[in-house]
Parts: sequence; C-alpha cells; structure tokens
Amino acid sequence: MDRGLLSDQAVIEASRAFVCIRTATYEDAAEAKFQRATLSGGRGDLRNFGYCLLSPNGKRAIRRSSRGPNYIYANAGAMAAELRKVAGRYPAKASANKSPKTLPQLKNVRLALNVASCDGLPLVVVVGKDAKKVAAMSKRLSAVAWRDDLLGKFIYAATAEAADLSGIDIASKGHGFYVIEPDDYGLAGELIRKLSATSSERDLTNALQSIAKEFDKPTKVHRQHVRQGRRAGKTWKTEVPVPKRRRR
Amino acid sequence: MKSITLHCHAKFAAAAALAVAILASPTASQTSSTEGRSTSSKTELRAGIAWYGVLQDGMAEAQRTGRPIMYLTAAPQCSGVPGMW
Repeated sequence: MDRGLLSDQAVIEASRAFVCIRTATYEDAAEAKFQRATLSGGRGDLRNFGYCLLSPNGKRAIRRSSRGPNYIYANAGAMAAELRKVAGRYPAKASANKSPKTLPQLKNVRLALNVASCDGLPLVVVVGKDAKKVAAMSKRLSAVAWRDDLLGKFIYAATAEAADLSGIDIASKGHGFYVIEPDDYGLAGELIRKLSATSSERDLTNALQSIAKEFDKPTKVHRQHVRQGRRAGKTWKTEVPVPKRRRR
Repeated sequence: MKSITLHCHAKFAAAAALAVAILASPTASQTSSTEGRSTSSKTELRAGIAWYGVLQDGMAEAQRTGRPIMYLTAAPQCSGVPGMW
C-alpha cells in the first residue's frame, strides 16, 4: 500500500501532530462521496487508494494524490519532513492536550476483522447488551486505546448485535471485551482473550500491553495471498461497487 | 459429619476452581477476569499510526483539536480477495 512509508518511525512520530483518518474504499457510500470530492474533484471513478493532507476543517487540500503517498514522496524522510512542515502551520488548540474520547473504531465488526487482517494486528471487539452499555464500555476502552504505548497496535469495533459476530466464535460467550486474532483473509477470527464487561481501565491496559508484546505479526506476500485466496474461494463483497477498469 | 462433608466439598471446590483458573490462564500476567488461548512469545508489535476508521469521527476530532488531517483511503481487498490492502 505504501512501500513502507506509513510504517517508518519518523513518519509515525510526525503523524502524531495530525488527526489520521483511514477509510476503507468501497465500504461506505458517504465516505466514497467524500473521497471522490477530496481526491479527484468529484470527477472519475473511485480508486483503490488515495492520500491527502487537509486543513483542520477538512475543506482545504494541502497535498493530495489519487494513489498512495508513495506517488508523492521519494522516501519516508521526505514524507516526515512535509508532515512536520504542515503541522507547524496549524498550531493545535489547548483542547488538543486532552486525550480523544472517541474509540478509533471501524464502522462494523465484519470490516474491522478484514482491516485487522490487512494490517496484521489484533482486533478488540466491544460486545455490550445494548447501545448504552456499548457506549460506556467503548469510553473506558478509548482511554486505553489512546495511550502512547498502545497507539496503532490494535484495531477496534463495537456492537450490541450477536449477528455482527458471525465468523468469530464469541457469539455465545456473552458481553465483554474480546481480543481476536484475524485469519489470513479477515473472514474469521480466533479468540486470544476475553475480558469481562466490567473490566477496569487498568485491567484493559494490562491485557492489551501483554497481548501487544506477545502477538506475532504475520507477513503476507501480495501475489501469493491473492492467488491462494482465489483458489480457496475467499471473497469479499464491497458495499459500494468497484468500477471495472481496463488494464493498460 | 455433615460439617466435615461440607468442609471437604468446599476444599475440593476451591482446589478445582484453582486448577481451572491455572489451566485457563494463558499467561502469568493475565487477570482473573479473562479467558482465552495462549499466545507464544514472539515479535512485539511496534507503535503505528493511530487511524480513525470512520471519517465522521476523525473530522470531529480535527475540529476539536485544530489539528490538520492526514487522510488515507485504501481498499481492504485485492481483486475481491480480502485480508490484503
């Protein structure tokens, strides 16, 4: 996706001065509309990838590419330098010192499991009795997710619907915080650990720190993955149709 | 006699509970409110970019903090096969 730019330490450090948003292309109609408007001026088909630096109100594109950041920057050093330069133009408000209250979650468990597999990261799923309980649990987990030592190490999702948990064998285990290891194709997952719904911030922190230390990040080879996936019938249905393009 | 029987039941129950707790515990650091399989000690995850996965959530945070936005969009499938950007 990025030829290593986004996993470079200097880029990661520079990204902390930004609000970083990564949407899944073809997985939400409203986000697709934003993507098209922001990356290609509302013209043409959606593309698989896109990258943009925006002003805090999201209205001014400072830098954009209808492909990945590797189409703009020669290397990670160049990307980190531009991030630092842009961040310098937008001093954060005093309110930025307070940690975010929102859990950095995906829109649903199905997508989160796939994204976790793409990133090679564990997935934390909040399963609550109803929307109110899910919100309270997510708020507790959010305080943990934004700790410096846990940033970018987990993917998150939340639900009160047992039907959302198909593919993961946790539907019958009740409410709680579930840490899941996604399979190679992000279509199923295996339970690493369950924490009770009443777990404290400290319990959650200890558990996630421990799992982050032990988790084995898998490596995948792109062509091999796609070839084997096709043979095994591992398919993904997008929410927004993928445009058919002719290869040049 | 009855009290001895009850005492034995209690001891057995406590021992059984302890055994179950030990067997179910993946690591020594795991809290008692957890369950799951063990994970072998391998590569530690490195810190990464902290992405908002929902556009609206990230936009709200940018408004709150006044920070600029790094926006990326990526398809979590290749030729219809998931699990790979």
